[in-house]
This record gives sequence, structure tokens and C-alpha cells, in this order.
Amino acid sequence: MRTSWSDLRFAAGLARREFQLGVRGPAFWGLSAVGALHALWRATAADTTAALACYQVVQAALIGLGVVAVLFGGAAASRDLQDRSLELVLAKPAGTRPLLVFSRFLGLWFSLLAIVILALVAVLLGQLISGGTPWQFAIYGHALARCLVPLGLAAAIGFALTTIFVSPLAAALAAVYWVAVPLAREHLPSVFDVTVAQHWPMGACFAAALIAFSSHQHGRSIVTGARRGLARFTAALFAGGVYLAIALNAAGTDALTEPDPVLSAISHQTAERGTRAPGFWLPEARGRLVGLDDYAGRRVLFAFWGPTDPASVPVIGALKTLAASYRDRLTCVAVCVDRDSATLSPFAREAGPEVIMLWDRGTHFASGQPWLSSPAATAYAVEQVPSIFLLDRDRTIVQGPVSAEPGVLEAAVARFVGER
Amino acid sequence: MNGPMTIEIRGLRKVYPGGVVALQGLNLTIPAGIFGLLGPNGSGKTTLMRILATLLEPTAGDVTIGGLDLRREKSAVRELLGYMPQEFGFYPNLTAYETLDYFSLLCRVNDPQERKGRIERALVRANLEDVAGRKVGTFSGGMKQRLGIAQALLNEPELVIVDEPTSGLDPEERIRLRNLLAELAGERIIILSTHIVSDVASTADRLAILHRGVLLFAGPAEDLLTPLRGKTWIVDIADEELTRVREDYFVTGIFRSATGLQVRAVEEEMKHPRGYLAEPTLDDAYVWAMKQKATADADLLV
Repeated sequence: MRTSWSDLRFAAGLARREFQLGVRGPAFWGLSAVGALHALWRATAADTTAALACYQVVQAALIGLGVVAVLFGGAAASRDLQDRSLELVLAKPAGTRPLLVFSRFLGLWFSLLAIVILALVAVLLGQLISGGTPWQFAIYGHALARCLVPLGLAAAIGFALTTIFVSPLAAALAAVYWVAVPLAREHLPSVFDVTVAQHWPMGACFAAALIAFSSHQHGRSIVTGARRGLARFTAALFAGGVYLAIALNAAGTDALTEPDPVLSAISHQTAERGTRAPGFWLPEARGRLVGLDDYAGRRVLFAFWGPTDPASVPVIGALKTLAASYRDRLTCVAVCVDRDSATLSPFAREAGPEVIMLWDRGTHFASGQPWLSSPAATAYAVEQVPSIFLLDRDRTIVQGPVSAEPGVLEAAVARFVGER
Repeated sequence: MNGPMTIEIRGLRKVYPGGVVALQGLNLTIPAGIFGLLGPNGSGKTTLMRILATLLEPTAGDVTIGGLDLRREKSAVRELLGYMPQEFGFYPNLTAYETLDYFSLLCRVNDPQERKGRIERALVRANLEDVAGRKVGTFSGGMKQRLGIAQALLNEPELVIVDEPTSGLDPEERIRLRNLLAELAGERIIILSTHIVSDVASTADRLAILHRGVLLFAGPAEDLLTPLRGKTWIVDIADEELTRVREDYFVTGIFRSATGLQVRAVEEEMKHPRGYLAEPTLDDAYVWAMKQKATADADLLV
């Protein structure tokens, strides 16, 4: 136990210094300034909410900062070579410890998260300035949590490649790859692109495996002994990552993989005005599956929206107002169309319990229009978001798509509820 | 460990990949005190230093440091080792204090209070306490060298290895660094590797001369000077005489004087009318030893 406490202090001490090394460079402050200004600009835009601004910060972090993380990882791993401190380190009693690499990585990771935190603080300020919803801290926490694994994985890739090939050029190549994957649409999209945020256990396994392997390689020219335990640990983590990747791929709905039969059945229905609305089972924010049958005998306003099209987000506010106005006479359901189920949570929190928030999985990230491939959105032939449908007590489509223009939607709903 | 620290080197050989032989079966005993390791560039000094600092695996031979086998007990050797390599750097964005904090963590000093005490002692010893809060990136060459010494002292080592510590320093910093090394000597071993003879002359108790991986001499400095007593001369000459004097005598140094040139030479006899006996210096002895080796090598070739 005494050893563990000592190890913890060792790791914390080194991580702290590594963090200082990370945050004192001009690159950190340059990126932080760009990130914070971008976040402030987004957070003060018209019709923006904290959830939407945080979503945009996360998206920027996953792609833009992901590239930076790969490069930062490379820089951290090659620091001893660049600063000519390698021999000083290796000649020290703890200079070849695997824990040294882990601690350094931890400091690097925290410095990347600090950039995200500064951007989220800018969102908070922006919301204060524009009179939005600044005090829902869970939304900011959720955004930060979403960046933990992807940034860790990106930094681990840069770190490990630089350690293995003893050149930061390896990290630079990985950074190019990081940019290229989201752009090259049919290239293993469900495993290696930004959905790492959603599939974090897989990302965490790979990141941990990469850092464990870097630890294994650290000081390899002078370390005697095979470090078999560390090698086995690395292999186990890597195998875990591969298993999760295969499982994920098998359960995915991408064109490249086997489609899920239930989702496929949902998408093969047809919605027509005056006919019975297509049914579905979609998860709400906490993962519970919700179907149209759950609202049997009630009038339902059914709105598709997606954070990838920010103009569709204000429909949530409109639904919230309508739900409050027609409390017992209308059920408002907002269907978020996005690749990532975790996107839903902060928007659901912001919307409150009056609006039922569901997730319809969109799969084609590269198209930028996930509703073209989402099962329920496909069934309702959604061509753009927001798309709003009014369903009668017997599940008949009374009207849709209804315009979301302020005044037009309210009038349509008033007519719909008043008529019946 | 009982008694003062000793290093025993037996049959140490290092051949680099590619076939370059850096050390050719070295036998050497290094007792406590300052030990100077002299030799020209490429003589194998740094290879020997790096082997002793556990950073390089020898091809053959045995080394024991304070009774510890260097090959099998690397970790234990590092516990009693302070090493300053020939070329090194620090993280420029950390202050001197933070840098030493980083390296004391690597010395397994995990208790913050103990770490603070050790850092402060090292800063005082290296005369860096006034600049402890300054970023290392702003340090001069001399300050960086002193910080290099400070980091080597953090684990209060019994063996300090400094490789070419004064190269590139101005005279004032060189003297300051040499004084610092002299202060540190005591029960511990300080191995000072250099190609600058005056660094060793002013500080080392014992010395060794390496040449192309072979040991030319090992022992107290006095033993190196003794054979040259009664053979070391100073000759006052005019500038135009230099070529002839060089042909007639083995010259170990040339200095300009008020009247012309003053030449130091090592010879059994001095026939020059303005030649007179002088006390041999380590410079004379070093140049003489190199000459002896070169002559022996030439004889072997014949």
C-alpha cells in the first residue's frame, strides 16, 4: 500500500510538471485563444443555446483539436530528444520506469483538456452575454466528458508513433490521417472517425494499449529484462479494443456493414398524409426505448431536428413552449438525428421534461446530412431538418411536414388541437 | 557499503555496431576523490562515462561500483549515481526549481518536503538560488552547466560523473565550475572527463589518460610528472628560431613573452644557450604521454 501511495505521488508530480510544459508553450495559448474566440462567437449567435454551443465546441475539439492532440503527443514523446535531456532522464533511478511514460501522458492529456475547458468557459460567458442558459453546468460537464477519450486517443496515437519510430514525423503523418478519415467517407467510418466519443470504451482500450506500449518501449536501449507483464497488459488492452471495434462494426448500420434488422424494418415504412404513421422504437436520453404506442390515444407533434444543422435547433424551444401551452392536449416529441447518441443528453436537459427527446441514429457522417440515412427519418421521408409532423389520436398523419417558421407552426398546432 | 567508494574496471571492452572499437580491454581502479579522465576527442572517454552511467552496455569485461555489478544491478547503481553528460539540455519552459523538482521525482524522492530540501541544497551548491524562479530557456551556458551539476547532486550521490563540464564556458564560469567540483569531493568519487588538461590539473587527485581506447596512464598526477623532472625545459627564443627548435626538441608548449617566444620542451639534454630547467606541468606530461604513444604506434607499424 505504501508503494502505491508513493507511486501515486510520483505520477502526480510528473504529470503536474508535464502539464506545465504543455500549457507554457505559445501553441497552447494560440490554440486556446482561437478555441475560446470561436466558442464565444458561437455562444453569442442568435438562437443558440448552451447545449448547441457546447456541441459545436465538442465537434471542433474532436476534429481540429484531435489533429493538434496527435501533434502534441508527438512533441511530448520526442521532448527528451529535442531538448537533449534523454540521458539525464535515463540515468536517474526512476528514469526507465513505465510509470514515467504514463505520468507524462497524463500531463499532456490534461493540457489538451485545458484548451477545451477554456472554450467551454467562453461558451458560459457567451451565454451570460446573450442571456441564454448559462447555469446548466451538467451540459458543460457533458461536453468535457465527450472530449476525454477522443483527445486521449489522438494524443496516444501521436505519442506512441513517435516513441516507436523515434521521430515526430510519425505523429505528423498520423495527424494527416486524423484529418483524412472524416473526409474520406467510406473508409471504416464507424470505427476510426470522430465517433470515438460515442464508442469511448473502444477508444479508451486503444489509447491505454498505445500508452502501455510506449511505456514498454521507453528506454528500450538500456533496459534489461523482457517486461513481460507490461507486454501482456498491452496485448490484452489491444485485444479488448479490437474486440469492441469488431462488435461495434457488427452492430453498426453503415453501408459497409450488416444492417440492424429492426432499424432496417423501421426505415422501410412509408409515411403519407392521412395514413397511419410509421412506427418506431427509438432510445430517449437515458437509453430507454420509446415507441409511438407509448402515446396511444394522444395527439403527437413529432419534430425531427439535428445539431449538424444548427438552424433546426430552435424548434426545441418552440416545442417546449407548445408543450407548456397544450399540456394535456398535445405530446411534443423531438427526434434528434445524429450519429452519436450522447449528443441527445444536454439538449434533453435544456428542453426539460415537457419535451420528449429521442435519438434517431444517422450514419453517414461524411454526407453531413445524417437524416438521409436515419431509420425513422427515412421512414418519414425527411429531406431537411427541422421536419415536423402532426399525428392524431389514432396515429394518423394529419399534417406534415409543417413549417417551423415562428407563427406558422403555432397557428398550425392551434388549428390541429382546436379542431379536435 | 563499508568504507569509501571504489570502482573496479576489469577487461572493459566496447565495440560499436559497425566495428569501431571504443575501448580495448580497459583495467582501472578508481578510488574516492576527484578522478580526472584525460584524452583527445575520440579517445573513448565518453564511451567509458556512458558505460559507468548505465547508459551503454559494454561488449565485454566487468565493472563493479561500490561492490555492485554494473551489468546486473543497474538500478542500484543509478541510486548512487549523479551524471552530467557531455551534451545535454533541459526543458526550456520550466524554471530551475521546477526542473530540479522534475529530476528529484526521477530520483524517487516522492515526499514533497524532502524534495524541497534537496532542491534547495542543490541550488545553493550550484550557486543558482537567486535564479531558481527563472525559466531555464533564459540561462547562459555556464548557468546550464551548473544546473547540470545541481541535477546530478539531487540524490546525494556517492558517484558523480561529469563529462566535459567546462567545454564552451568562459574562463570565469570554468573556474567557478572547477571550484564547485573541488568542494564536492570527499568520500564520494567524482569522475571528471575532459580534454582540457588545466581542468584536471587544478582539481583531480588522480587521473587517467585514454588514447584510442587504451589506457596510457593511471595514477596520481605526481606519478605522471616524476619522469619529467629534470627533463622539462623552458627556452627563450626569437620568433625566427621556432622552426629549428621544433626540429631539435620535443616541444610541449609555446607562449609569447616580452622578448619573443618562450618554448617549453621535454628532452634529456638541452643544448640551447637560453634553455633552463623548469618544473613539469600536467600539460607537459600529457603532451609527452601522447607523443610516447604515437612513437610506439609508429614503431609497431614499422
